[in-house]
Amino acid sequence: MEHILAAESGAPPVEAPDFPAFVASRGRQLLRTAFLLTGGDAHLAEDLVQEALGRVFVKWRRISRLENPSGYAQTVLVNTFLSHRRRRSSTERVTDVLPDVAVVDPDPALRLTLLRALGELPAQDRAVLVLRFWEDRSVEETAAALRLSSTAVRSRSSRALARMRGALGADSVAAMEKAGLRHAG
Amino acid sequence: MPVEEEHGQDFEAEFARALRGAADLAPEDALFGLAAGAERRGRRRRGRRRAALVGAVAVAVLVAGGAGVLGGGAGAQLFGPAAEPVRPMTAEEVVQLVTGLLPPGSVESKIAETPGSSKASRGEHQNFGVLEFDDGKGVSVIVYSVDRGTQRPDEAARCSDPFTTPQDSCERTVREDGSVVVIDKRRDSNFPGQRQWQGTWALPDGTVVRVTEYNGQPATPAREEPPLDAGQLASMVTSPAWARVVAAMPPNPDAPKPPKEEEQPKQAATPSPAELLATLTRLLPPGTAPSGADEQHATLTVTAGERTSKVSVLVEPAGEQGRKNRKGAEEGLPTPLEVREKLPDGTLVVTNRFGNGKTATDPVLHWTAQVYYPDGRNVQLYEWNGENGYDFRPGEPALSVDQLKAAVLAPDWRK
Repeated sequence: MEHILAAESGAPPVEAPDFPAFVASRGRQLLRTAFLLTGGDAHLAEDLVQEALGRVFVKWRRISRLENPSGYAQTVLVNTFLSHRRRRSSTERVTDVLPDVAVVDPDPALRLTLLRALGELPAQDRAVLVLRFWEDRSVEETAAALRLSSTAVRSRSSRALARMRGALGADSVAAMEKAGLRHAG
Repeated sequence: MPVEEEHGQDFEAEFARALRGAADLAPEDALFGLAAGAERRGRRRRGRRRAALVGAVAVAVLVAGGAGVLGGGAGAQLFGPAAEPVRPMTAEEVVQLVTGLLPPGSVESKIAETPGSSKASRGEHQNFGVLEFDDGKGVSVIVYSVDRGTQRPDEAARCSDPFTTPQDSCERTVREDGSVVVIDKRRDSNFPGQRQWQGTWALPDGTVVRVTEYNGQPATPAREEPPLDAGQLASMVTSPAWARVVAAMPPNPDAPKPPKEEEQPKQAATPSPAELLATLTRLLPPGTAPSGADEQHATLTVTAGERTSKVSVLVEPAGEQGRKNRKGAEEGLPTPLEVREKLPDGTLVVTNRFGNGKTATDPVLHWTAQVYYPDGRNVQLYEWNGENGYDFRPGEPALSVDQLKAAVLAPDWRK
């Protein structure tokens, strides 16, 4: 999509949205990111998104003129999560209660296993995985968002993936493949 | 060691997909409370920050004799005679003024921000508010803003591009005083039924008054149309009453200056869209034909039998930006159907197919071919089925990815 938008040379930039409209259009994505960052804690996710959006709101007029307000908001969210974790590291918990939502789910157990495994990673490793594999950010973009070096992002990503693979276990990895999630390339 | 080598691309791709599946479990019902909650938190945050500023500002006002510190300035003059120094307005006063510009009905203020006396705060040149307005036919959200901004009317008051933003209509009027009024009736493809009508009045001195009205809440339309019709919206944004709000804000030191005569538009470093489309037309394979051209967006409509698609061209000349594009293409995480190929001379060729999102594949909605030459020059072709730049339909496109690849590799682009 970014490429598609970039290809529209000659088009005037899309006008900056108003804050409520921005929240209406991007809130869902932010909630999902927060949900992954918190390892599936719906209440904490909502709290983090509200806190992050509060920070965005204060500077909204400036942020709304940025090329990518959504990317900015996502970065604020990740940093809100990390600072929350620093404050609350002693009370860390992984939720056992997941919301009851109706989705077409090829393997609900896998999703829950994945969330729990994410929740057991160190906060910064989790942020690296979410930015890299959920947000599709490059190593450099992830490094900039987390104020880490590219090398640190690569090594954290590598370590966290290894842990995810271990935590998910052979059964879950096989389940991913069985669930039709096989890599096509 | 690159992550990809250590864990294998299969696992990474599967992990990314599994993440998306897990994200689907995120609760949806929290969504509509987000804006209000965020605004409450934002205001508290700002309140804490401003508390430290109030004392300093009070001292400054005393030193200045308490008068003339926040005088009218050029922004106010367009509304009438030079304004007397005006005291800042409170948020309640601004809401009252805005309410007076609306048709009869009830108004509830959800957000109202005014720079007040806090000269050092970020938003000293901006007023902003969100109201819920009920004219008896259903509550609608109305957003207003008044800026002593930095843009000229030709930049500040433009119709949105219907190619990228769903739009019912847009009227743009240049007035005798050089100000511009735009009434833009937009929709949002994410929210079926939403109507978002925006009135903008932009003045040569950088002042911009903007009112956006919805037919209900932005995400949940509750009536056919927003409460004010186009005429009422235009009257509202151009009301002389805004002069009071403008005058209560200090002049913006970055307000636009009259254009200098020697200013020339920058020379384009790349061929014009018309030239790009002519090149693409020459490269179309047998059995396909152009059936429309959109020069503004460098996009050609291509028909092959029963199939019609849009193909958009982007050419980046040799240089820093081109090299950045290449680096991104080389180092980015490959998407499931992407194919990267390096030619003996170092040229990188990338073809891809993807759906609603870079890693989605079912259904495929985008077909692309890109070539990145060692000097940074790159040529990119994007194909999709649809009438515009925001609706994408599945189905066989007019040109296959291989045909896109053949076209993008043609030496014609390098002439």
